[in-house]
Amino acid sequence: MSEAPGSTGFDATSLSSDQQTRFVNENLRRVFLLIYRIVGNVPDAQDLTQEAFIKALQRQDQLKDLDKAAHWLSRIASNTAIDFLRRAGRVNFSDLEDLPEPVAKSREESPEELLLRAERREYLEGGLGVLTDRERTALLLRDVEDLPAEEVAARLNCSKATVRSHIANGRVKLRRYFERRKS
Amino acid sequence: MRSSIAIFVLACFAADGQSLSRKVDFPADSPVALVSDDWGDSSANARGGAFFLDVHASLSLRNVSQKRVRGITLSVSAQDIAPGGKGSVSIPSLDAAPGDVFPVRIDLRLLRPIGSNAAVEVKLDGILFDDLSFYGPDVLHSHRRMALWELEARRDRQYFKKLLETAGRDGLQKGIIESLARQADRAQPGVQMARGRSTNADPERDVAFALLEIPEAPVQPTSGTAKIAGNEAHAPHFEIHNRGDRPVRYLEIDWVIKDRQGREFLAASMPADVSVAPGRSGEVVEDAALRFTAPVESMSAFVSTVGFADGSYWIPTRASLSDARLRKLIAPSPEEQRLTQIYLKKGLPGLIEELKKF
Amino acid sequence: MTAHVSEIDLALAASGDLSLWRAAMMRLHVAGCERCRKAAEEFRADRRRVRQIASELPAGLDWDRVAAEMTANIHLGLAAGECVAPRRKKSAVTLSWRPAAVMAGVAVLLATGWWLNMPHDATVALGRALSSVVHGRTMAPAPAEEPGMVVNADEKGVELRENGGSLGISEGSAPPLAVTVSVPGSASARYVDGDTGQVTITSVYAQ
Repeated sequence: MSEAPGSTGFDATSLSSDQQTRFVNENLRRVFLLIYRIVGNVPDAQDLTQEAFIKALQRQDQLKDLDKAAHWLSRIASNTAIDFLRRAGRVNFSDLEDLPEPVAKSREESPEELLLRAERREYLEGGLGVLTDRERTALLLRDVEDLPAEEVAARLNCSKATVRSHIANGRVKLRRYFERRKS
Repeated sequence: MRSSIAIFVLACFAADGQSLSRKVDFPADSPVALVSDDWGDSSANARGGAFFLDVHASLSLRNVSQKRVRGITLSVSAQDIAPGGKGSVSIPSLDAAPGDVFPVRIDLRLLRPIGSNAAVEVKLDGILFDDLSFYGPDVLHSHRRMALWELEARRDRQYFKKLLETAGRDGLQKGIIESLARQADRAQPGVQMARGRSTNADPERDVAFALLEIPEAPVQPTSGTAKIAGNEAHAPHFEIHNRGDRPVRYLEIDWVIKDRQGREFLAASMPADVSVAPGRSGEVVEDAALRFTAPVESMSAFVSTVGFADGSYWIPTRASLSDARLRKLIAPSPEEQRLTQIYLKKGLPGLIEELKKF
Repeated sequence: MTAHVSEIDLALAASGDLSLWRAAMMRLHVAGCERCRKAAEEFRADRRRVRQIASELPAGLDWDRVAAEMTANIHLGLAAGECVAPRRKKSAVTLSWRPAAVMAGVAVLLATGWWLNMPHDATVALGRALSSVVHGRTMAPAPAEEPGMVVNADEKGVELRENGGSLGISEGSAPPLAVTVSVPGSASARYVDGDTGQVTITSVYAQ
């Protein structure tokens, strides 16, 4: 990692292959999960994750500071996912061929533990599933990415008031969903 | 014997590299006129009792009509009697306005019996205009072929323009790159097609085609069989059903093979002139054999083109082509290949500029 | 704020998105109202649940394999971006238009295989296609000679052959983009001009 005198972080204008690999490895899971929760399916999330990293690494000149790199990458990732949702509403790329989900590797858990974990995941994922795309995206950016409401508004291309409305409606829906499931 | 060989050799030397007599013959009322021609490295070489005519020509033609020309087909002929004497060159996706000059490249090897001059004749088989009207003798059925290419061109241009409109430059770029990937992913097996019965001595078995359905296709194959022996399939026979509301006069059935590694290829296209009323069924039978480079595991077929009695056609929509399997099998249209080439050469701005012309 | 806190305010307060004034009034109310205090805690707990589920992988996902695939595609995508980037001089060697275009096209193909949403085994096909194009190998050997008249098509072009001898042949200056065989007895090869994009389709006929 080469450094200009007095600077922190790496020389973003010429990341080596190793640096690129490290950047990808350190952020891949987080970015994938963010996109997956926005778009709701693994195949699209894979495609969009790759797209986001390629976009990010092709704009290395915009990367001034390693500390901000994760945030900047998240912005690219969420924008990529949001653009995808927008396009999906207008252009039909229906894929008639179902792609199989990758098979999980076995872990050292008892059948009961596996069932409980699956049930809990299904319970929580069901909650996100009752939200609209914009509500879910707003909540993920606010609660998971910890972005301030102003930035969420910028990414969703709407006003701060609208974002607050999405967040509020999303949380109320979630609350009601959990209450229904509990009862 | 020695004197015969000597004469033969002398004859070969005398005939090899002979200059090629050529003729470009357009009718007086032809919508295109020859501006210039360059026959470059064209030559005639004698082999046995025939001339092999290597034709490498660049023609410049001018659109002298009042309409835009969208396609042209030239027949290139050394002789019409024996096989190997005839070829053709088609330019789909043309956009020649009245007065425009455009190039046509010919690269063919043809056969002509020794005993006459080594000569090749270029004739106009057909011109397709912007309004889908046609001029020409249509000996090679170029009218239908060019009309279909033009329909595909309009479909695909519309698709890419809509991508640009709805998804912006990024969306268009993604669509073009997907097309490049699609073009590169279409593997081409070695295929031989022979008329008549197979001479394969392997035991043969009747195999049914798996039928692929394109949902909006007005004609659907309902059954299909062929005989397979080793790596050869022959005598395809299909029953088709017209589920539309218009009489059908023409269709093309595309023949897909799967080898033992599970790879699928579009092997051949079976055009057929038919007469099937709405709601009725018909048959398509061919006395032909296809040989492949590897043993055939299974076969599939689908109707890729339908021609109606009123002269209109059906081709798959872009929505149908979003099916991953069909997308791998059906070749991108000439227009799509032209647009991707423009993208490779001139980048996204060049492509956008090209799309704006239509 | 004497009435209970509204659900909307409770929801916004969980992430600090309530205005300063309303947040202050809410804190005052909640300090003395068990019901609203519990409700506020539930909304905060929901926020933790969202963070929890968002950090978990989808059910049944083989993360190691998926991550490896994505990482490989990302590197290919970056490499392809170098290939197709316009107006960037890569070397002093001048390639003829067709190999450069093909390599760029196929390199982009590898990088963008994921954009086609292809399953894993399709990427094997991509590798084969790239390998055969870049190294100039044909995908398959020519079929053995067939007596009689045959139309022959492969990625080199199309040819009319009789008893092993070549009759008509379509031969461009570069390999064709596509070849098709039409059962009545013809074959066509499609070529493209790298400068203009003009497509030329050359056909040979058996009858």
